[in-house]
Amino acid sequence: MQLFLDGIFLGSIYALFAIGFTLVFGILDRLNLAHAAVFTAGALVGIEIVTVFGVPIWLLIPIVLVVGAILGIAIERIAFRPLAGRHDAHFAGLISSIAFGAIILSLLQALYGADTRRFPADAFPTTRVEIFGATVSLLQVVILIISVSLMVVLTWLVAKSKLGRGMRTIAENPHAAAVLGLNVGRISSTTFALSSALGAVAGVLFTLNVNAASLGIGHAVELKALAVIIVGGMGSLPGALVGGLILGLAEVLAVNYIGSSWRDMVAFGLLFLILILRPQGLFGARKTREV
Amino acid sequence: MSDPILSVTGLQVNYGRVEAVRDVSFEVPVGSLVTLVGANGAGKTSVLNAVSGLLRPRQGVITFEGTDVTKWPAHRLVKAGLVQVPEGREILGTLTVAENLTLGGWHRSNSAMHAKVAEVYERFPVLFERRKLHAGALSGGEQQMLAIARALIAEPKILLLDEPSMGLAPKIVDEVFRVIEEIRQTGTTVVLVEQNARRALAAADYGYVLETGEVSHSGPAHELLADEKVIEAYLGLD
Repeated sequence: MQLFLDGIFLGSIYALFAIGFTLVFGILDRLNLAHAAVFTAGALVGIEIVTVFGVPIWLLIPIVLVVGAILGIAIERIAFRPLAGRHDAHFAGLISSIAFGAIILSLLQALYGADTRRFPADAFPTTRVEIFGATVSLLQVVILIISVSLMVVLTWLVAKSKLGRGMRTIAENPHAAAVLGLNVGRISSTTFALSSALGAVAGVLFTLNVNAASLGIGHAVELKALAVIIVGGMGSLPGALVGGLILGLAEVLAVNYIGSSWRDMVAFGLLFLILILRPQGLFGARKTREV
Repeated sequence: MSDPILSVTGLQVNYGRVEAVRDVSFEVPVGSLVTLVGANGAGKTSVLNAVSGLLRPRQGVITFEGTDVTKWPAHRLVKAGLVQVPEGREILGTLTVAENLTLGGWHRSNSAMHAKVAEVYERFPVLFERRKLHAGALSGGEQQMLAIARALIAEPKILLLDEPSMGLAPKIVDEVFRVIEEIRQTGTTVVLVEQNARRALAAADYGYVLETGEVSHSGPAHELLADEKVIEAYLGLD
C-alpha cells in the first residue's frame, strides 16, 4: 500500500507535466522542448518565493501558475510564432524551443547559482497521516489534490468551454478556424500559457515531494514525459494521466523490489512493452491527433 | 455605382518571390453580386484570402464599409461582417453538422447563434436531418451547403465564396447557384470567385476577369458574357 501511494504521488506529478506537454502537442502540433526549463523554473522560482517571502503553499501555487503562464506566452511569441509561416515550422520550432529552454536555464543559473536548492525546513507542515495502513505526509496528499484538481479543471476546459472548443477546432484545422473568425494567435498563446502553467506547478510539486531542486531536474522529467505521452497516445489528455501514473508506479516498485539502479530500465522497459502491444498508445485513436 | 461596401485598390500578393497577384483593383457595391473569374492560377483565391485577412498583401489598400481594413486579421473581419466560404469548403469532418454550424457563430451571443442556426435549418432541411452526423460523412454537395450555412450563422454583410461549384455534379451546381441567389435576395452582398465563368457571370451584376494576377477585363456581367472576344480568349468554351 505504501509503495502504491508513493507511486501515485510521483505519477501524478509526471502526469501533470505530461499533460501540459501534450496539450501543446495535441492542439498546436508543436513539440515544445522548453517545457522542461519551465518545470525547472517553477521549482527554483517557487523555492525563492517561499525562502524570501515565506508564503504558504496555497498562495505559492497560484503565483507559480502565473509565472508559468507568462513563460508560456513568451515561449509562443519568441520561439514559435516568428517561425509559424515556414515550411519547416515543426522542426524549426522544436530547435528554437530547445534554445529558448537553454536561455531560461542560464537565467536561472545566473539568478540562483548551480547548486541544489531546497525549501526552508519549516516552510510547510510536516504532519503525517495514516491511510490504509500506509504513512503519508500531509504534503503528499496536498500534492496529489493539487495535481488531480488541475488535471480535472484542464480536462473540463478543453472538453466543455468555448476556449476548449476553439482549441479543438484549431487542432483539427487551423485554416478553417481562421476562416471562421477564431483568433488563432490568441488561442495558441492561451494554450501555451496553460501548458506552461501546469509545467511550472509540476516543478514545484516535484520539488516538494523530494525537497531538492537543481538545474537538471527538468531534463530527467522531460524524457520521461515524452515517453508518457507517446505511451498514453500522442495528444491525449487521459493518456498522459494514465501513462504518468503507470510510470510513477513502475519506478517506485522497481526501486523497492529490484534496486534503484534498475529504476529507469524497468520503467522505460514497461513503457516500451506497452508500445509493442499497442503501437498507437493506450488512448491513441486511429485519427492521428486528439485533444 | 452606389457606395461600395468593399473596395480593393492596387492589390499585390506574393508567396515568397512568386507574384500571385500583381495589381488588382475592384469595387463591390452594397447588395450586389460581383464575380471574379479566370483560369486556375490567375490569382482569384489569393485576392479573396487577402481581402479576408488570411494573407497579408504586399501592397494595396482594402476598404470595407469605408474603413481601411488592409491590416486587419481574419477574426476581426469576420466579427465586422466580412465572411468567407473557403475553397475546398474546409468543414470540420470529425465534428457533427450541428457543431460545425455552432462554430460559425463564434463571435455571436449564444441566443443569437441558436436563432440563426434554427433559421439555417429551415433553409437547408437536409442539414437539420443530418445535424448529428459527422460532417465528414456528408456528400460533396451537402458539405458545400454546410460551408455556406456555417458562414451565414455569422450574419455576414458581405459573403465571399471561393469556387463553390468545384467538384460538384451539374444538378448540385444548380442548387448552389440557387442558394447564392437566395442569399443575395436577402440583401447580403456577395463576391463570387469561380472557374465556371459563364455560370458565374450569368448570376452576377458585375464581373472582373483575372489573368496572371491582373484584371484583364471588367464590366457589367451581361456585357462580359456577350463579349465573344472575352469568352473565347479568357473564359473558354466550357
